[in-house]
Amino acid sequence: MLNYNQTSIAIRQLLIKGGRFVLLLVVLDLLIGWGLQKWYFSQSSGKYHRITYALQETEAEILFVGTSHTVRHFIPSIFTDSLGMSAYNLGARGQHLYYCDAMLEGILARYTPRKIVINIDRDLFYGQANFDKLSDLKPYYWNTPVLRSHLQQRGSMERFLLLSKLYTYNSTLVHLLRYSAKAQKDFNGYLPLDASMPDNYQPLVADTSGDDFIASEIQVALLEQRIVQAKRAGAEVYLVISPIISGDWIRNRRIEAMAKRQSVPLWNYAQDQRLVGKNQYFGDEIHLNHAGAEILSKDLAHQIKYYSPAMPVLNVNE
Amino acid sequence: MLFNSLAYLAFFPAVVGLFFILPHRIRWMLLLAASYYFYLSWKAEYLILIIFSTLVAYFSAIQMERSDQASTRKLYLSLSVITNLGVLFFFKYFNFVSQSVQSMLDQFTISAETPYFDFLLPVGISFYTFQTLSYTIDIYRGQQKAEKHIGIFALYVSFFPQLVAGPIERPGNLIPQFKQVQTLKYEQISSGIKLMLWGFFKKLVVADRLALYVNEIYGDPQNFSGLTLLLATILFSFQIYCDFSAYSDIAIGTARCMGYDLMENFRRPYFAPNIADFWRRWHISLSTWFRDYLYIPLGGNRVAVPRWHLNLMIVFVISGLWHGANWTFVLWGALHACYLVGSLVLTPIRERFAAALPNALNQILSIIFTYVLVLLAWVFFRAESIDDAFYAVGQIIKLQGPLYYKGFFLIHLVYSFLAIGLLMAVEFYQEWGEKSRLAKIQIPASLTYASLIVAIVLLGVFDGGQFIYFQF
Repeated sequence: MLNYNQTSIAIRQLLIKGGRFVLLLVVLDLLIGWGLQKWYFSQSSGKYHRITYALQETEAEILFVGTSHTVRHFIPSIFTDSLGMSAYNLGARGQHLYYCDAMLEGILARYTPRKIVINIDRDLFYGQANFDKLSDLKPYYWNTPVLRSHLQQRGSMERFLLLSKLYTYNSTLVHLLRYSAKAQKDFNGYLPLDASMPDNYQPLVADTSGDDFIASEIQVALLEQRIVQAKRAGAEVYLVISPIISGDWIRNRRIEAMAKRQSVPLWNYAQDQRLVGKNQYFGDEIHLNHAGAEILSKDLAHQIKYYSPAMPVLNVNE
Repeated sequence: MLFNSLAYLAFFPAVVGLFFILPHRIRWMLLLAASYYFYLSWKAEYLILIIFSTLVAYFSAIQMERSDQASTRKLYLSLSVITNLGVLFFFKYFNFVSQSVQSMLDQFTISAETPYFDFLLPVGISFYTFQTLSYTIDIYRGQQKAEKHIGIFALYVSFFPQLVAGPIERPGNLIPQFKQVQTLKYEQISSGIKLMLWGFFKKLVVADRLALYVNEIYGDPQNFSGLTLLLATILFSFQIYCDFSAYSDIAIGTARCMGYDLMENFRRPYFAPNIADFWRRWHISLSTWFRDYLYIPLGGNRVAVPRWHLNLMIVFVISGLWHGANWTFVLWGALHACYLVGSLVLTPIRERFAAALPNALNQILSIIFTYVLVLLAWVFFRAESIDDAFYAVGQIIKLQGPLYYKGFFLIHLVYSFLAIGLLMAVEFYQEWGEKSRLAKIQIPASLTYASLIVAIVLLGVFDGGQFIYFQF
């Protein structure tokens, strides 16, 4: 009898105090989450601002898509001057294919740019199933429905976890503080690298083996699917391979075959002698600085300007 | 099934709920089934090993107790010890020994190939093997009565909260608890959940965050400067502490919810003023296991001084080897042995030094010095090879830059320092604040723990990071 009384008291305490605690958590989640949401979407510069702008506002006629190579290598103003079209650089540092794919689908759901330039590099295909990096898109789960299926790849419970506002803004605090404290200057999404490699820097011996860099069938199929969607919507798509300082051989036969199938030009600057090995054009081992980006952007703008669909897929400047 | 997984968040309340609904006499069945299910979720085939280990220890203990003859008792003890250690050796050390022999043969250009088996290390084997060993040794010593109920004994070996990464429990503590009627108590559940929350904070906010930077650096140490390696090592010291103690906290908290008291396994080790005290605060269940079943049987400190020091060396080298089948772990253990022996030899000097300083300053300096020694040893623990370890140590001593913190990692470093700051603030309070005026500041517990959950959800890393000690 004593045990039964103790148990029923314990159950009552658990229900009452536990219930109160859960209520407190829900209130904190809503209040703090609401505050974070306001802060997040009021950002006027930095990573989160660029994602929001790309998904919700831009109507640029030319879009550049890809990783840190994209954000450092393609100067929108050069394309605007050359082609007379507005341009925006969606490149994202530290990101990979699944993020780029989601961003493209999110944008295409809203409008169709006239031209899409996708930078092909090893980093784009890094990590066979790297859905973790899609976490950057969590704040858009509820207001951009096309992103939901992408985010659900992170896990079967993701849709339930995203009911929590706090979880939605997980790991955003430092960025929010950083860009609130000091605005980050970008140029229609382009982030220039001002530094140069030291004069006495000797790049590692280039990998010119001719071996394909790794991109799985699934990843290439995903890229192809998005290219097909973009083309059906009326966009012209271009694939570009930027150089790195050592002049590593960067190509992939699967991607070349896909480009031919879809009649999408693939321009390979991996061994462009104007840039490769030139310390003054690189800010680090794998990214062009502003001077190098100018050379690449001007050349690419020229290629695009005079490209005709009747032309075959080319590898240029080897 | 990881503790930091949604599957466990469903498993835990289901088991605890059923536990209190079922009558006491069949609760052991529920816990045993839950424990085996918990273990099955790792790799079903290895359940056979834990059952085998259980049966060998069970029958050996029964036979030992039945016999009056010392030789028979010794025989059954040997059977249990050799069998269980044999299984541990085969799965954990065979390839290591084989590869070491191969390296030696290669050195002498002897062309012969040593055998190599490709299999996964059974999760928790080091832990449950030691747990069964302590049972059979205690039976042999007459300190423990053999458990006749095979189900209760099997539960002692496989109890899911502490099965895969400890604490390594003693039969005298755990088996009697399984026989006591446990009643649902609010304070128990509340206390258990609070401890689990603290464990989740240490794992998700601190350990998994630090891992992002540490793994990048130690994955290829030859590419990074001494300053970067030093930072990575400091972060690793907190990563491994939080990772391992988090597991223990969640294990102890889970068991506490059901009314079971598991032993304390960590007690703020980085506040230790000397190496001996560090080992009274770090992995307490393992260090006391080695003390009771290896160090004391070797003679402990009740022998001549050189033999005493040798005993310490043996214990710590074996402890290092217990952690992993790699010479880096052996060196890690040996380094700690050197520290201990060194501190004993230098005791007169240490005491003179301490007497010359104010207490508070002496304590601070002692804590810092002890931490630096432990930090140096962590290089060997974390490095993937001896070459990498010595390279890292060499670079750290030179302490040249630049510091690696490119983009992505800069953000993780900021989170890491924030996480360490929160951790140390709490631990500082636990170590000293509870006895000071700080204890008078009353913050409602509900708000404290709600804030903890907010911190976990806002700052935690949720990609299901594996616990480091699972590899042991």
